[in-house]
Amino acid sequence: MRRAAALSFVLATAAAVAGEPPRPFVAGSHARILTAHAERPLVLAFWSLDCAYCLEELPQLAAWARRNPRAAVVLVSTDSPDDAAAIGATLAAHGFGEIESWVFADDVPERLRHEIDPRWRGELPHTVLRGRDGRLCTVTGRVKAEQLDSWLQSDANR
Amino acid sequence: MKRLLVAALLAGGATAASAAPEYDHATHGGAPDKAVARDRMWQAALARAPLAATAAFDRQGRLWLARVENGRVLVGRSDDAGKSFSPPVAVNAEPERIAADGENRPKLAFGRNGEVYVSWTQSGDQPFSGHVRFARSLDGGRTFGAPLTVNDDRAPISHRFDALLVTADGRVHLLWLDKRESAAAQRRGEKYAGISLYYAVSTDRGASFAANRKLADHSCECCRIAVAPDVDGTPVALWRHVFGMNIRDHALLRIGVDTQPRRVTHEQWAVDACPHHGPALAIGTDGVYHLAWFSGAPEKPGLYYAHSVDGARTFSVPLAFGSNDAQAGHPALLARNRNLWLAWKEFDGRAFRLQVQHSGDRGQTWSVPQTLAATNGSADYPQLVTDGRAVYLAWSTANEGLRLIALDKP
Repeated sequence: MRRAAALSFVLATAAAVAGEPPRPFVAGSHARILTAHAERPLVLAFWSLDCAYCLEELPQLAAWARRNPRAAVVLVSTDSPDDAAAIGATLAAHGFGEIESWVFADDVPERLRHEIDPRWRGELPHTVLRGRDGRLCTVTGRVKAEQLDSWLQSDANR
Repeated sequence: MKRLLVAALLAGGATAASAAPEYDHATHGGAPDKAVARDRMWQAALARAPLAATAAFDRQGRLWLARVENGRVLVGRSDDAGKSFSPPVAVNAEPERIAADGENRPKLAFGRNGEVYVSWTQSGDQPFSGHVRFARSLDGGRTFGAPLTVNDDRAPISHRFDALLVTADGRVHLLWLDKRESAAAQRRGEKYAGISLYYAVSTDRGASFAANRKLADHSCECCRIAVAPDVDGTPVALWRHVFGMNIRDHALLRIGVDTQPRRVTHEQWAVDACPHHGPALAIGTDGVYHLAWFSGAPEKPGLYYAHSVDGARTFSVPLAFGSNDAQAGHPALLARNRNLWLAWKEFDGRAFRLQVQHSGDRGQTWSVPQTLAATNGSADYPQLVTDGRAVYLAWSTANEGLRLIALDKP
């Protein structure tokens, strides 16, 4: 029930949070995001309002991002632009202040998933880690802070 | 190989989204901001025209379709195998927020005496919350009685992903995924993997349901449940389960026969995630159980098929099918005598393909996959349906509407 209570609060403040609305994630956005953050280790986290495991992961990811400013953390909601207010409020309520946030904006989400990983059927959370060496690795399901720590300290990010 | 029978139906007779009625949210209480935000989400949810629809033939071989629009389940009937549909009838008079997506859509089933049964999930204000709703028509779908809420726990938590089955004895079976045990464990400060599989049965043509019964602890949270009748009328359920802490393989239960669910798939997919990808189940007149499912296990992800000739005690070696690099997913299965059809959808980066394989020997050997339809826009899951004579694929796509594709007699 704790989560439900927290989310009531989220909804209660959804209209009041003045954070930047999520940007539309369309065909080509994935490659552009990778390029835009080419200089830094990048955690690209896909999540949804409909995914309980995502909501459990968000505060941990927010805390990890604060502890590791040398990594870029970018969030992509797989909901729809109609959900922009709830997305912004949910991120704010789960500990994200200034955060680069996107939302799927295509009637065919499979098209976007195909660009990200042709094998991805849509299970969430889905996290893409792109090291400074350019290598990509994917984590399906809740990602642990220790996993992110060891990736950040690995050769991929020297 | 195939005939395209029908394209249009989504336009037929329904009111436009712009006619969305006003809803009073003052009764839900809370601050004005809360009401505004909820109202916005609610209106946005209503304005979407969901693709997810359910096609089913009744016992007279007439095709029915259930879909959702403006907070109502709409049911229409076709007496010419989908060439034309009657004006849709609203099942629920009062609009409500109704789940209508791939895994969670209204269901249709038919009684022995022309009863039309409809179930759906009513989404609540709290995220992940919902109630299982049910309504019936005793006049051939012209009018529906007031909907019932079938879950007897009314907490604002998940009672969703309903599955509906009518067995030959006329009993109406409803199954759903229910969070009450998980919520109770949370209140006690305990961990509870997944949620639970719940069940209720009606023996009075859907006038009422017996008390809710828990069938199994630790189901996965948001994958559709598959249910099919065994040859003796036993309802058999197949669902994604959580084994141990987080292994999301599948379990099967013969309702009223088995005391414990049995594990029937073994990919060992350990993941804290929402796959949103439930299995398919068909049981032939010979009593062979046929299963199709998705696993994301990193060493062997993909779609699988297996069958059991001994009531789910042992299974054939799982057969992988579909293209992993095209998101092959959401399988449907239909068994008819020795014949078996398997359908799924793929996306190659540009278009969806509707793929079908046929087996003429109860799933021992299979044809090569054939592409029976394609679309460039968004696409629902495929469904396999039969009127007792022919077998059809029903596929709802944004650009083409509902297509009903007759499969050749093997």
